[in-house]
Amino acid sequence: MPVAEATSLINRRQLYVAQHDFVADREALEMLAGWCEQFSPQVALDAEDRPGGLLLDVTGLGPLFGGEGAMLRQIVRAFSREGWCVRVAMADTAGAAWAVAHFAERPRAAQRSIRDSSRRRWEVPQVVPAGETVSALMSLPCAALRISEATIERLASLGVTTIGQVTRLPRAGLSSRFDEELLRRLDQATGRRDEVIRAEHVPEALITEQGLECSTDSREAVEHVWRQLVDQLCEELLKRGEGALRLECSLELDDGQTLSMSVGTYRPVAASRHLKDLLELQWERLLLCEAVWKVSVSASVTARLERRQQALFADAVADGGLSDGPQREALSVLVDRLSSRLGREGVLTVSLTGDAVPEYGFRTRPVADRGMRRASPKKSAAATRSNTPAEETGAAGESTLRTRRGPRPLWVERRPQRIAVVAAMVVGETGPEGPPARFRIANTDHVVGRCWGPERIETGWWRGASVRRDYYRVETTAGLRFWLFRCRRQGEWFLHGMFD
Amino acid sequence: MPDEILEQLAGVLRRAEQASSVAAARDLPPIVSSGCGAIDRLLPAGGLPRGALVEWLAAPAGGAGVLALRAARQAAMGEAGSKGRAIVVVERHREQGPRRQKGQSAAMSPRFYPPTAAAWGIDLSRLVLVRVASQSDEMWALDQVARCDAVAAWLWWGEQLEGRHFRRLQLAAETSGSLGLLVRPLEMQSQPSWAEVRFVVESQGEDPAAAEVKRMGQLERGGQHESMGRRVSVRLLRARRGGSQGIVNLEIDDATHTLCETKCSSMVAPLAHSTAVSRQAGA
Repeated sequence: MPVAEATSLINRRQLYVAQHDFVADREALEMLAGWCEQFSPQVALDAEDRPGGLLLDVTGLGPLFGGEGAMLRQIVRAFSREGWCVRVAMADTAGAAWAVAHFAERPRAAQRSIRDSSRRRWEVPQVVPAGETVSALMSLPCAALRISEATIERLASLGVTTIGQVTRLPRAGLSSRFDEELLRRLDQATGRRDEVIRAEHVPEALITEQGLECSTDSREAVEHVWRQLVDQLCEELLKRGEGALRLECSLELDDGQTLSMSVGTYRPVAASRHLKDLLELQWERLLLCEAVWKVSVSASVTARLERRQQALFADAVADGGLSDGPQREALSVLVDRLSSRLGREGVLTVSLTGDAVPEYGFRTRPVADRGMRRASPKKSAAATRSNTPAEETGAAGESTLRTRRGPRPLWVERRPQRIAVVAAMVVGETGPEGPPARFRIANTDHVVGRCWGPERIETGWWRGASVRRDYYRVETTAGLRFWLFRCRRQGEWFLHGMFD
Repeated sequence: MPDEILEQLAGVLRRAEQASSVAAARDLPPIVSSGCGAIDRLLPAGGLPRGALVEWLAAPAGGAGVLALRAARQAAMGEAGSKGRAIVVVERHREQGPRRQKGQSAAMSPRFYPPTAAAWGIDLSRLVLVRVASQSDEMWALDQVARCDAVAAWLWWGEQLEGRHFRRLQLAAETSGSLGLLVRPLEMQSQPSWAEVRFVVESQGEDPAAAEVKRMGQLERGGQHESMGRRVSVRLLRARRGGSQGIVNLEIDDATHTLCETKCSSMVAPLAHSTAVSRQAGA
């Protein structure tokens, strides 16, 4: 139900509303998939888009855990120790297991066999015995087949609500009346057709470490050690054909603390010299107060290295390639160095949002993040689904707004500054609504010579705190041009920017 | 005769310098237009040299920012078929704003506003904004940016610049071929500078002819159709190898984002006050 309806049913103070974050959900699920590799070597997400669960291939693994039922109970216990509530089911086919896990009724009697008393009824694991797959599916609703909503509704309109009824329908009729998805899912669930699940493997984190025989607080020695480790790491990265996007160097101290240096790069890098230069920028600011006994260097985020073909003849690429290849390299080196010292938020790219409110007229994003986003295309595909209000206006909205908007100054205050009005408008052409004739910005009086405006900027009530301002461009007698506005709600004057 | 020979020699020297410059090695035109034809005519080579620093000395809100943006845009534009050269703006979080003005409150900290830069023709996909917190970081960042081959032009609004930093920036710009655009207050005019070209930009205020029409004591209401151009004068303070000594009067229109040259309105000399004459006569 929509949020508005929910808030009308429940008191707002008792209701917690949070925006659904697809990307975070998916990331958490991928992390769990990696964690589940302790139970099975093949773990996959149960759907490509909007995955809601995991599929594990446990063929032949039952005896390792003392039986299939025992395996499932172990899985449930392991998840609950991590703080997760799960529904688990095991069957011959992936489709059947999914159906049973999501839709099967749990028997009451089985609850007593579980020792953990906090177990809820629907968490009781179910094992569908071999050969009884079809009979287990019979009573489950059609939605258990993983088909689309439209197909389910059509089946319901025909009076077909359970999988058993679907199987009793003639197959030829099904393929002609519904799309092939229904038949495919039915065959996959009953085992007539094979289903391929794509397992996700979390790549092993690349770590090189060295423990020192006797702990030392000599900076040269520690520097020598981490430089060697970075060299080893880069050799390993090159062997894999990958480059590091994020490198971390941790120094374990005698008193138990850990100092760490972390660098992020714009593009995947396997050149040890570049990585050492970046770490050096942080190393020179690090203070070693205790002796170090272990140094480790790890590449926590890696991506495939881009291969760039070297041009054979420099002249041939004068018009196109030269500006592309080495300069992109030079720019990414610059971005890496700046981000390493100033932080990721210190080097930004800018994009316009088309928002009418000047403070939100543009959005900044760290340049270094571009590399991370390129490395994980799946994540970016999921992220585009989340829409922020600013992006909804889009480029089309912006182009039409631009023609109607007044000019903007080059310098804009982050937060509009309240100004003191010394002398209000002399009643004349502009009337009492115009800008003040004389105003003070912290100890300096400015006399207004000319003014242009007003330009009204208002935001919609659905955006939250509303903005209702009348903007004026004023030129003082000293030749300065300010961008002032009057807040329509309070009637006070603010300085928002300066033209340069 | 000697003058002609000197001019010829200066021309030969200039061409030889340009040919060996880094910009020429990269197959880029060594001279970049400043974005305004009138200013180009003031300069010895007809434009700003790549691989050098250009200093704009202006009073706050004097219009130098817009002129610097235009020059940066030209520097990034004049490359055939390239996509990669960036424009970098280095900005410091300050309590007092980009240029401290008399009496400006400590709470004011205006920031560079990219949408206006975009309106003045800067391609935002090529703009990189570098925000620094301390002065040492600022100098270091400027040095790194000036050194980079992939930067077409970089902009910095600031005040104090120590001699050694200035010199380092100049050498870095020479090596990389980037165009460094610095905007500093008018008071820095007397300080030594390593910039190859220095301009002084002063705002002119209202057109005196229009001011005569205005009635005394009343605020003039500028309508939507009336030009809200700002009038500034640009004077070339210094350029290597000469350059003309003229003054250019420009009108900057913030609404249409254009620069145009205005005819220099006659500066009416203020008439001597009659009482001064009588006092002298009396004394």
